[in-house]
Amino acid sequence: MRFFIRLIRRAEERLERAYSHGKPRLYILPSRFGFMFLLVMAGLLAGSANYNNNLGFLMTFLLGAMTFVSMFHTHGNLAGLTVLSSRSKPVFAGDTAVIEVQLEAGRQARPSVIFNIPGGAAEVVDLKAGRENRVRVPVEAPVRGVLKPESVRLQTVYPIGLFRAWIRIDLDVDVLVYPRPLGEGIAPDFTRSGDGDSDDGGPGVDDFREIRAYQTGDLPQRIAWKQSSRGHGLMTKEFQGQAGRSVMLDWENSGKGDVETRLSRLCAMVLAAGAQGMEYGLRLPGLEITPDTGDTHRHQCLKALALFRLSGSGMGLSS
Amino acid sequence: MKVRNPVDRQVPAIIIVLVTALAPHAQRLPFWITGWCLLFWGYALLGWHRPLPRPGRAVKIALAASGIWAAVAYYGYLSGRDAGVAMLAVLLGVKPLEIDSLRDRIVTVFLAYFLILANLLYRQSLLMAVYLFLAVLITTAVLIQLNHPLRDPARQVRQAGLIMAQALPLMLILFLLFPRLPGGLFRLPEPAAAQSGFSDTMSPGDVSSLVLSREPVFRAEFDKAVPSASSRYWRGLVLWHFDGIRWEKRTGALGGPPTAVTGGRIGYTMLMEPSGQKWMFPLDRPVEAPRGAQLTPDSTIVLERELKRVERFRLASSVNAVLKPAEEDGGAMALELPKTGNERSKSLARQWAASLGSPEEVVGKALDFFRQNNFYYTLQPPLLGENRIDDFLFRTRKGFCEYYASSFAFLMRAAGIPSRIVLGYQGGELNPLGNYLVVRQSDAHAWVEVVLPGRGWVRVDPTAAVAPDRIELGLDAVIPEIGQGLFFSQDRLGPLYGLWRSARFRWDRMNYLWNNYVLDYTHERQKDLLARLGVQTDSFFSTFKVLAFALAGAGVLILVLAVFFTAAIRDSRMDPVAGAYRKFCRRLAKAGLPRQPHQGPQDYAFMVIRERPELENEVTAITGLYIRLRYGRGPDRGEEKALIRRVDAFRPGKKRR
Repeated sequence: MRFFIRLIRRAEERLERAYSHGKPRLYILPSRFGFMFLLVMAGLLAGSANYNNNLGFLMTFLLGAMTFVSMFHTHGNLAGLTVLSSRSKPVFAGDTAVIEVQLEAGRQARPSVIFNIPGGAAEVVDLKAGRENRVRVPVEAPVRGVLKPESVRLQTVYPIGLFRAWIRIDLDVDVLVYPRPLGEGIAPDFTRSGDGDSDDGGPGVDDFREIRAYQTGDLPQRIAWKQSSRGHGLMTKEFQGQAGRSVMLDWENSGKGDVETRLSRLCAMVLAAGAQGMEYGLRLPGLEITPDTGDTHRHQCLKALALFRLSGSGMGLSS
Repeated sequence: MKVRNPVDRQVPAIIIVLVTALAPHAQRLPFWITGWCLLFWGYALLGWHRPLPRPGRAVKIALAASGIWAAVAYYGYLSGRDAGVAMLAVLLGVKPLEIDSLRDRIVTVFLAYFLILANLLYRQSLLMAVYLFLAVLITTAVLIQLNHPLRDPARQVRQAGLIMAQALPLMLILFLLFPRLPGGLFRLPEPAAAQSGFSDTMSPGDVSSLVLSREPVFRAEFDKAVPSASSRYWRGLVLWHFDGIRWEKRTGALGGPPTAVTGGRIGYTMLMEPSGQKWMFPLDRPVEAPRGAQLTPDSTIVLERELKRVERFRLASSVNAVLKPAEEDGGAMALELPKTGNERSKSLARQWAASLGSPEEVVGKALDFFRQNNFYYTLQPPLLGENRIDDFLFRTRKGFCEYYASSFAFLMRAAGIPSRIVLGYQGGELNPLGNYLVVRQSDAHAWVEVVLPGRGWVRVDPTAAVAPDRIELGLDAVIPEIGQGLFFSQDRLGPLYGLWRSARFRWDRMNYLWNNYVLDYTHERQKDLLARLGVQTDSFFSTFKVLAFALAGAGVLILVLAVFFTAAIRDSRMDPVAGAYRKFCRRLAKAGLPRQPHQGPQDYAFMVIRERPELENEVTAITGLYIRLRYGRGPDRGEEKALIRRVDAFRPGKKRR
């Protein structure tokens, strides 16, 4: 008696563990081929019964039992997966964000799991046993602001494809989406004239400083095509011209157009200023960032642009 | 889905499935269909290896259409299993030209499944069952390959084997308990089975053509002792009319079933292979017919319908039964001879009849004639002229049982002794593993029955006079190159012959068990089995109920085992660190300090130390080790062992008040 009580308690423990972390439910249904196979087996059963064909019965029940068993294999391929963490890097609007999900697979390897975030491409992954599974799931980031992919869908038909199991796991990740850069960057006389629209020349090529690796946001006309063609990835020409100069990138000087267009222009200016090694600051209505240089500063400015006039822009975004 | 494997292994895997599916059909299909399939499959394999021109859509449709057209032209009809299989094979032949998408590949494998299952329409033997299980294993492994192209094939076969092994218990329960119906579900007519064995006449060469086949005809298991070799005559058909070349059955039923049986009854069970014919081959002579068959006036047993699957019959015979001839039997029909021809034989017989007193003496004289005139038993007799009997008796003197039976019956009739021919089997191999006899087509035989005064119909086997070993030891003893073939002869194999023999017995025994327990598992036997388990089933649905209970029981059992074993295994082996820590927590919980769900190891340790300061050293050490192993640099065997040792020694006990 005590033995059975212990058994039941263990079963309860298992169930609790399975659902304790607010874990979502796992669904399983026959796949298209599974339904087809069920039809085949129904025909086989009818034929065997009609002709009293005992080998036919045996095959029907073998295939039926294997289908049944395979359901548990498919279920087990997803059951017990835990998402340990998920994180991502900021992207520019229109680019594809990559959510890196770390998973605890438990004791068994889980082959052929398809990861998919609504609005992104599917990613097929073989998960190893243990916790060292980092899956990079793509998701499109069409608009500026904060992208909150609510959940990632894991799906599998392994091993024999007759059943499809899926589970939707909630994600706790915010992707910061910078505005899409627009325009040529900074006019040479930006700080004086304050007219970003009249930009037509850009910094002088005489002030060329060095060639460095391409970074997201570098202006296309700065790409060193000749050097890039040597197969080491894209290279960007960096200019000394405005280095040392200090500019204030001002909302008032971001030209005409709606808010998004102006933010996009400012974004391009931030990138251009950063690429030229200038010291720059940002002035938006109700917000001012004092001029500085460096990656952290750049991120701070882009983040301010990304969150500008969004409700809940005060949320504690890290990174 | 994207293809992730640069060397796409799936194409050869699919070809393997297709070849597996086609293999057993190849012997039945016309040669061109096999060639057609191999041609396109070879092309697909080559195309997988190096780029080859891919046929366009129009070409593929044209190929499929021309293949179907050729199959229709060949068979002349579209329905029926042969044409159906041919059609499927033709389509599967061209299918590998179109397997770019995963969907196409899975459809191909599914079509191959149909071809594999089509074998059920042809054979149900144990060999076929072995093939089907292997084919399902291979197909499943390839399905796994389709869904997971990266893993190596050996692991895919293992995975498929695991699924199959786990499915076997469920398969067994379903097979035993799924309700069987006495007459089949819809009572649709069965497709005609291929006929084998005797036709209902005896023409020259009929028996010798059977003799070359090792196919089993039936297996017989006796209630008591197995009859001696010389009395193993299995009675099939009785032939009366002779036209000079061919013997035929009598037309129209005469008289009632034979009567006047004396002698001990021998009870036995016969497991007959499907022959597509109606006659049975009971031990000479049968005294009663089983259910679904009747005993004829000729003392033969005829089934009510053709034998289309393995079936089991209970029979009773009496070896020394006396058969009184019916009035008609002694009459004109058993003495009828062609008006002309074979005059020399006729006059010889008449001379014997005139000079000898009793029919017994005439029979003895005729047998002596065979014994003393250099007759020779052979399966390749020389051609006979127009007067076949004369030619055989006085010129060639070479032949096999047909020749001896035919000419002996002729002589008897000419001498005025009523006689008839019996076709059947003689002999049978005793399988020492199961104490049953297996009788094969190669045991086919023909003998004679004559009416002797006061004794009724008496069996006379002229072949025994010429080749006594044929009766005592079987055909192999007389003509060793027949039957087992040259390769497996005793001379050739030497000491291995014993091994070969016992393997053969073992295989035959398995076939016997297969036929008996699987193929002949009928409505009645299911009922018997359930009755023996204490369940009375009188309807289809009561059997269903049993099945439902059995499945539910098995489900609960599996669930309990799964929960128990996974919990036990998790604690002990698979993750020693987690297992040890769980044990640690369990012991503390018993001591009244359960770990709360929100508590991490650190918090839990603080709480325990606060409550039980005397445990501080141990709790700190164990928690420290656990945290280091779990969240630290990585696994360390030494620390792992230390943790397990400490947890094992950890005895918190109840809190003292």
